[in-house]
Amino acid sequence: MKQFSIIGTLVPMLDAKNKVTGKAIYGADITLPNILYGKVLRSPYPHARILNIDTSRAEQLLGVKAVVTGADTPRIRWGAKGIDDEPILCFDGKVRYAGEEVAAVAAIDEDLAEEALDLIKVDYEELTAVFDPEEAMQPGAPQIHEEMPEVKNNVGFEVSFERGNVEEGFREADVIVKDKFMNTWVNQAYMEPSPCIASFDTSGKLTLYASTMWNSQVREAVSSALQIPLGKVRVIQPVIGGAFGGKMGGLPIHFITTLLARKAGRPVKVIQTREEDFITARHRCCVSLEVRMGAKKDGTITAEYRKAIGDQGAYMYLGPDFIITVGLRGDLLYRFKNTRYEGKLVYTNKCPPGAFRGFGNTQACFPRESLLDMLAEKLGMDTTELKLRNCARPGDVSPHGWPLNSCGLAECIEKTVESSGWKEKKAKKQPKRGIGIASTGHETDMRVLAFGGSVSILKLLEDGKVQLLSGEAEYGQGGQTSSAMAIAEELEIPMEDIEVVYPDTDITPYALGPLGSRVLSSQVTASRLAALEVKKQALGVASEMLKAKVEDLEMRRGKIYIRGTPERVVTLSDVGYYAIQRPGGSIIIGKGVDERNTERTLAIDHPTHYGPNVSASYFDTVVAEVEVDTETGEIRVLKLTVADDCGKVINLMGIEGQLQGATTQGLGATFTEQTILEEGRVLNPNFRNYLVPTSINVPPIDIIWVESNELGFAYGCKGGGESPGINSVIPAIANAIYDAVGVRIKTLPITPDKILKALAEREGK
Amino acid sequence: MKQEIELIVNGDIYQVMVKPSETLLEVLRNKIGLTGTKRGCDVGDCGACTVLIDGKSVPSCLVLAIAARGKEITTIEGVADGENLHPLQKAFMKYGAMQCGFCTPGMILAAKAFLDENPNPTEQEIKEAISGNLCRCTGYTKIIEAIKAVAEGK
Repeated sequence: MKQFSIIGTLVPMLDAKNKVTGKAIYGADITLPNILYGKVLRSPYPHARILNIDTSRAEQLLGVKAVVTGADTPRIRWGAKGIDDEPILCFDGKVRYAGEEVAAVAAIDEDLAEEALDLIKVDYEELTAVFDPEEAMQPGAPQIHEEMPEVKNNVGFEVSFERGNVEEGFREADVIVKDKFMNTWVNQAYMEPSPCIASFDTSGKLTLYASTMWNSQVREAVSSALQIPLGKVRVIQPVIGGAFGGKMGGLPIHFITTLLARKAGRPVKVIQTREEDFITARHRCCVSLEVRMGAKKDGTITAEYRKAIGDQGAYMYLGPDFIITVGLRGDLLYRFKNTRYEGKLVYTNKCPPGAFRGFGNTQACFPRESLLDMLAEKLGMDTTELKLRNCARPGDVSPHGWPLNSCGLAECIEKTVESSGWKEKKAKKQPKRGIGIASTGHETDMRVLAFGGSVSILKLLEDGKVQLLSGEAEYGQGGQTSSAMAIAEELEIPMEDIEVVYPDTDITPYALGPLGSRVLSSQVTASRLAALEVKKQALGVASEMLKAKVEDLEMRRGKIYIRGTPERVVTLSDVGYYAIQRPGGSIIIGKGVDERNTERTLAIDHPTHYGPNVSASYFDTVVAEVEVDTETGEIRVLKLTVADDCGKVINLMGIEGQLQGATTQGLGATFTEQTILEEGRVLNPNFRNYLVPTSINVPPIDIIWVESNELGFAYGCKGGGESPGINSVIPAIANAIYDAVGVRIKTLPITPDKILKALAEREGK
Repeated sequence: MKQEIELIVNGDIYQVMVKPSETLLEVLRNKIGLTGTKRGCDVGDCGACTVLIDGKSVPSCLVLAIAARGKEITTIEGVADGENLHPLQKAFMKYGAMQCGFCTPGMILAAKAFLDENPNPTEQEIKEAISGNLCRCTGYTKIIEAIKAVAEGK
């Protein structure tokens, strides 16, 4: 096996020093000359017609420079994924959720902007609202998008597909289990409230400083929805204070800040409050999922049927991709020959959901892994044995046509079982203690749009150092550092000699951003190829300088020698300088493209949704050990053993941190996190009542890296670190609770009162 | 009515005009330009705006600027000794105790105040000391490791 010099080691992230000294510049830290401050007026009603908006008093307030409403937009409905249903600033005269943006103000300070909001008079006619997807689908329910006659009973999107023959599969089964599960509305709760700054120059060119994971998409969205040519929109990513799927492109804050800046003719800064981010973040979609599974006596699964109903709130946004993904991604793990999936997205009068890590897998994993546990019990078989009997293996293709290539799932199961002492603990069960297991397969890349890969551009500068241009967003997940490590590995230069430019649509190439777990593998692969190209070009220039043939040259530690004649040497600095300054010179620029051989089967008009939407996936398994207090219903997680088949580890420090962080978020989603609504209004838009895990809550986490070798990516790497914690932790704990006290919780979060209620019901039987 | 006050921040004296309702967080960020102190919630729930006042860690969003007159205020910009990083800063880098970094300034200051008072803490005491500082990225493990390493003089 190849020995690496830096790949696989522990490397602090590139901007760590900026972050520990307070020098990292986040969106809210940026200011511009003559800047104004924007504030947004939000609807207090979940469903209402806007009869009139009178902004005159706000406009007259001294210091107010712009007030915008729907009338200031080009009245183009926007949509992220082919269903254009979002009227910016309710230009169609209707609000569809409490908290929706109705108007906005820019003033010379924040207090004045707030004061001006109070002076805007909006006459609403309240409409009957509907909050429950099942109710929304009933005949006679209020219609949320009556302007779209094709939408019947508020069903905004529907998808179904079957592989094999499910009916026959269930006939073959000796044992069938079925149940219904439900996750809950959880918020990304990134630490940085969303900022956005917009500024136009005299040519009409817009510069947006947006805390976004997806610069390219923000540019496209603002350009198309506000009718500004693409090249006149520049989106710069400052340092981002967390995103977790919540800071994608084309969000109301991007449109509104732009409209304010255009109308005021001055730069405008909008920083949302924590409350605004809690109310309007495009959270994790709540899905009720009915699932049925059948197996033969020997444990071979013969059929699976799933029916998902997603509460999509007021607008489709990323919904279609999401609900298709629930179907496709959920089936990566096991060799389901016969499987049928039906997914629906229903409009309700709530803030629309979007992406929050896991994107479909979290919703699919909890039901599937819970049901598998139930199936094992009914078969009289250990769950781990049932998993191993059915689990996907290297070289498989998923039921939906996703190639698995490398697949360390079996190893993940075996290693967590062994390391956790599963068998001994099962054999010698202690009262009120339990052990549970769950697994997930998560894609490592995905074809979201027409281009599914990544582009890196690497420049050799005159001083011999290199500069990497990549549009892939960085917000602490470490893609930039890992890409720099690949460059350091290939060019044999120190990390300090590599400068990574933050995403800026005027400078860095188009990028998809961190969707799924695609950045690490795709950006590292592209950056490695760019480094190899720089090396090739540098050798070419060096051959000219040394008057030697390229094939006689050797590059070592930033120097190029003639083989066997070590005194004839040029440095990368000599080469970089000479390349530019020589007569007819040109700069050394390497372009690396990671293009994936995939197909966009998530597209809403794809006839079958069958095909390689991803080129590789990573797998994981979590074993949870818990203790349940049957008096109080409280659950203590004693230990988590996590195996992650991440392919070759690039930066051990980075991926460990990713896994620990994701696992902690998974604990939050399991036990404490839930946005509570009453009549469509969020009751807990703050950290006091929306409980994210603190330093006290984290149990010991044992990590096992299963480094399967994914041939399609540089060094055999894949995505990693996210899925076990986000997806598998939840059902692993739910299964452990069942093992401990015999109650199965099927709705999230798992709270002490649910445990006590379930225990009481069991006693009553 | 605005009034002029003097604030001692990182050893320097700043004269600023403030409204009585303005918080120390707002004045540090918007008037003095020390943006290392982060605004995460504005109501004292998250700890991102933690600074030291006379050595004690406090959320600066809950302190009125006028109430901080005459006191020694330390922000993240004042933790390093010139080019020499504080041991906590070095340890946070070495142990990878941050990802997005938004909680990091507050976390380092909370840890500093704590270690200054308790140089030999147990792991449980470290966990409790930073329990008012939320981090959404790291899961805290590496933060706890970093603080422990400083306490143990590693």
